[in-house]
Amino acid sequence: MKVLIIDDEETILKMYGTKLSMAKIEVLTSEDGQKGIEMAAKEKPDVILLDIIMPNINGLDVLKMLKIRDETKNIPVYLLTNLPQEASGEKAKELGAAGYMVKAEFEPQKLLEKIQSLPNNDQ
Amino acid sequence: MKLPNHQNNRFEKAAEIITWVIIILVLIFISFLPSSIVNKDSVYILAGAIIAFALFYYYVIYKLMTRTKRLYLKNIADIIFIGILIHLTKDFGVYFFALYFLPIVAAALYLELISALLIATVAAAFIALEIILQSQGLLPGGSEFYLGAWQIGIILVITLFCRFLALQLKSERIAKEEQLAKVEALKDEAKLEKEFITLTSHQLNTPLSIIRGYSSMLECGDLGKTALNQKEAITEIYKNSVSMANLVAELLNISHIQSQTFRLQTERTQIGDLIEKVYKNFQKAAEQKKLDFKYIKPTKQLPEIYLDKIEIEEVLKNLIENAIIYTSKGKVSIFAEQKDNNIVVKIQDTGVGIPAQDKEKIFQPFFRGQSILEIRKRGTGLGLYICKLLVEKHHGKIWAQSSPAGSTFAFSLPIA
Repeated sequence: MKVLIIDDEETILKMYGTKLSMAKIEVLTSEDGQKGIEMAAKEKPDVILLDIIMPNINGLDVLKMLKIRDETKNIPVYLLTNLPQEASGEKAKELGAAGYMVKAEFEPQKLLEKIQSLPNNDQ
Repeated sequence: MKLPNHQNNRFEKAAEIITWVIIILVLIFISFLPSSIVNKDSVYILAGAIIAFALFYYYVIYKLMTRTKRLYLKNIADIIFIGILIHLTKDFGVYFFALYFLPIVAAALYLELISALLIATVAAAFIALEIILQSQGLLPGGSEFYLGAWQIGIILVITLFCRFLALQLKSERIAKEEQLAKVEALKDEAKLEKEFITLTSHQLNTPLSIIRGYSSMLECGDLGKTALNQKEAITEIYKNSVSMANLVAELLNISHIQSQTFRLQTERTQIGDLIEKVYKNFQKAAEQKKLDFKYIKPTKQLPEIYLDKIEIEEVLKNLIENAIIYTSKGKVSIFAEQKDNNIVVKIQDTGVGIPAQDKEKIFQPFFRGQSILEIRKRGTGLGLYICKLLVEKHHGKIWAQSSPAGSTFAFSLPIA
């Protein structure tokens, strides 16, 4: 399984990346939203985990663009953010997000369990 | 352009005097015109146009200045001027028609175009009536003085009526605009409040997620073996980070409920179905503690009521969870019934009970019971406070009862 994490916080990428790699999941990371879109189009991951508050381009705009491009529109995108659900959950759903997870409630183990429970997990 | 008050007053006085002087001079001038010119119809138009221009000039100057409260004196002064003007002319019938513009323009001084036109229509109706009465010979005849006084009286009525009606409309319009401005200001305030809550949540959760995440990985050995003395410290860091994350979530929940933008998403619901759903979620936890856990369904179907399913589910979850935590043995029972115009839900347990003096305080935030030393290791102390806020948002009530054999937590929701 291949997972792309797009988050401007390097520590978050390292933390979640380490946990998922230990479970033999191929982890791709990007600290920039625009580069993340290009990476998604090129690498075609099974799942994208996307932060919202990022410089240059925010996660909701990244989500919008991912859902427009043919190469990426069918990849499930889960928002992984510290903004509360009531702030952006509705908007994320409208834009086609598959789920909304608050980082402070999703420890690496819980995130791993979530990824492993997804339908296209071939592990 | 707004001038300081004292300058406005002088400027306004000067503008008003100048305007009226122009009107008087114009009419005096007309009175000296030879009668061959005066008898022509074009004189009416000329006089009316000059007067209208003078008043328009006055109106423009007036708009640039701060308004003063000389309404009553101004009206009386205007009418006196009108009277003087009429008596300056030798033939009332010839020039009088031009002076009918005065009430119309007087109204226009205070209003925007649409309202001014409405007032003008009313004034025109008065004028038309007077002209008709005069043409039918229904107005009293007599000396010139008497006729002049009658004309002055009519103009007085028209001008005062138009002016006061115009002011009434204007003050209503201003009040409406102020009300709208207040509503907009409140909306902006509410928006700022919501943004503050959202950003606070984000800023608190960002470091918390890293502390919690890495400490959980250290605890379960993902980052290598830890020495025994390190393991205990890591476990404490992890547990406290979880407590802190829960506390942040609940504090933000409270802020959200108490904010101006919070709205219940109510829908017609059979509360019995909601209770059953939450009951099933806690069956396993009750079984683990070997508690007799039951939902006693009402004998009669309860009426559907309007409630926010997510919020009332949270209330039920909090109360049932507390009952199970605080009961080491015995039973936890849930009841629901209709009482007058309310649905009452009760969660009864055979647990530790509540001291009588704490029954009211227990719904306060962070309240810890009789002894401050009896601090529960788990929980934030905000659950019951949140339940109270949510039930009260539904215009319901929440209370606790205690008996030697345990406690009962109950809430009521109105049916209508």
